[in-house]
Amino acid sequence: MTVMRERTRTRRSTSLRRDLLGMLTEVAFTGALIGVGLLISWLFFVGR
Amino acid sequence: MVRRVWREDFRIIGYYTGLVTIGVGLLMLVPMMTSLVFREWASALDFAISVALTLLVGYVLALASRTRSTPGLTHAMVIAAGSWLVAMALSGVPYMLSGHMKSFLDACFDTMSGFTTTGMFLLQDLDHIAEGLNMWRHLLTYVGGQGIVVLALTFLIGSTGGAFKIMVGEGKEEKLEPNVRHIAVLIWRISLIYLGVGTVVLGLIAMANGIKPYLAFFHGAYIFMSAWSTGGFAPYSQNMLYYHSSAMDIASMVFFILGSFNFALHYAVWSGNRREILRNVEIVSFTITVLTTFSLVCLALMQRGVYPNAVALFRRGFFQLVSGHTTTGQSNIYARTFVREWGPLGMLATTIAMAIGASAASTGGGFKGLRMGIIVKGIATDIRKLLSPERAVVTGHYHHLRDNVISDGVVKSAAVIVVLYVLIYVVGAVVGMAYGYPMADALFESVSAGSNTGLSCGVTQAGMPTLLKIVYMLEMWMGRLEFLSVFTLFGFIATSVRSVRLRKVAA
Repeated sequence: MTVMRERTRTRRSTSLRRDLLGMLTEVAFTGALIGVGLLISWLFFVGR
Repeated sequence: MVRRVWREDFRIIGYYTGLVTIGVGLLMLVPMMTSLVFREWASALDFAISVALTLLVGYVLALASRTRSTPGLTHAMVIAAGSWLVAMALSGVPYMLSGHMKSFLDACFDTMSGFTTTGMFLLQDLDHIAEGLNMWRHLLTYVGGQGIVVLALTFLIGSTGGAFKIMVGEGKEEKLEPNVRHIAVLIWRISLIYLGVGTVVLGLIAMANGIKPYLAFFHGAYIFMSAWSTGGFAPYSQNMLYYHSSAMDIASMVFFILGSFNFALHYAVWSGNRREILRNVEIVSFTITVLTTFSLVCLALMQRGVYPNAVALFRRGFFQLVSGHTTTGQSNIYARTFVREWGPLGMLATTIAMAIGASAASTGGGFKGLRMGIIVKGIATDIRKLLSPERAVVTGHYHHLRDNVISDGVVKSAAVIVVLYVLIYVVGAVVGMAYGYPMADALFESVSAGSNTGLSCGVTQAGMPTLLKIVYMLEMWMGRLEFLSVFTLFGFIATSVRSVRLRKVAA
């Protein structure tokens, strides 16, 4: 029973870590895209 | 040869449509509770009446046509297309009872816009509606983004063999898990986790901007639901302009970009395959088209000297462009600014971005990055074939969760859907022009409706011609369901009429 509970807890924490890392990856990519957008705006002003 | 329609076909369609309707009725309890919390008794009564009516219709439909048969592909398509119409009409009841609509058609326009995550609205005096109705508007768009059939699958329809087919009919054709209920639960899990995070982040920003704490988190939830489902609604008529906050704009932009991703991509990234986000054909296609169309917008806005510095250009230009490209429709400029300040090139770039749209099997619309990627790769493969020696075997590939070979069939199916989208965009634009709107405005608005974006350059308002409202509603419906299920519904109606005639002749 204790082993089962321990396994469930480990599985749950692994799943939570995966979710969190997945979310952070997606947010980082989105942030990078927005950053490139800001860079393009700046380049247009610099190059005018 | 088209098969005949039998009574059992109607039973299957009626039963499952009834279940979806019950789902919509239960969903109305959320805005009813919101009205009770805010002591809006009249609004709570509106919702109580609407809940009773919707549940009654749903139960009568399900009981009258109770069956144990499993839906086939034709039934599934008809159920998907038909239940959206039933849901649209019944969801319009609280709108109508609120007294904020000029006609029931306008109410249906708003609910169709909500469910299809378009974001156009004809509601009058938005700034003074009940909090319950505001919750309903945003909930419609949030649920519509996941798919109302997905909602029903989660709670009401079991893991029957036909359940996945109904999801396909709703445009969610990625089979993430073998069990269809698991797919629905998975979609909800990702969406609800982001709902929690988004509400807190946006709520805190709203609080920092001076909105009262209890209202700030409602605003956070509304803006999140609108962004994540690429809907475009906001609690006030000025949309995102109301907040005058760069932080709010950027946070919302992050959520609507995330909302425009394919659920299969979310699943892959959340399951540990994090490199997928850099390799996926849809993301590559989206990144290229966003940056290209934004460069065109920059060119247009720089030529006209609209914004005084790079930050202003980014904050308005990039936000609007990405809002259009992800088919969200949130706006931090006034509608007429597109015509008066952005000019033809700015409007054209935004129109192209809206037409392409978001990812397949996402909350977004448009003809989708996946199809763009496949068509471009198909063209590149054909060019390589022409340049290679005659005996050489040239095959093209695209990466979507795994490496896939580009066959003529895949390119053809993608091209057919793109042509159909272009067709509805053009039809809507022609009707708009027939009513006297300038070509740029008519095309912009039609593409916005057909791609389920919701950005407006001022055409959409309660006083617009009735036919144009109906055309936009059809565009939203067809665009959201990606044609197949809508055409099947039309075919089913025609076959039913013919079957009845044949039976009469036989009798």
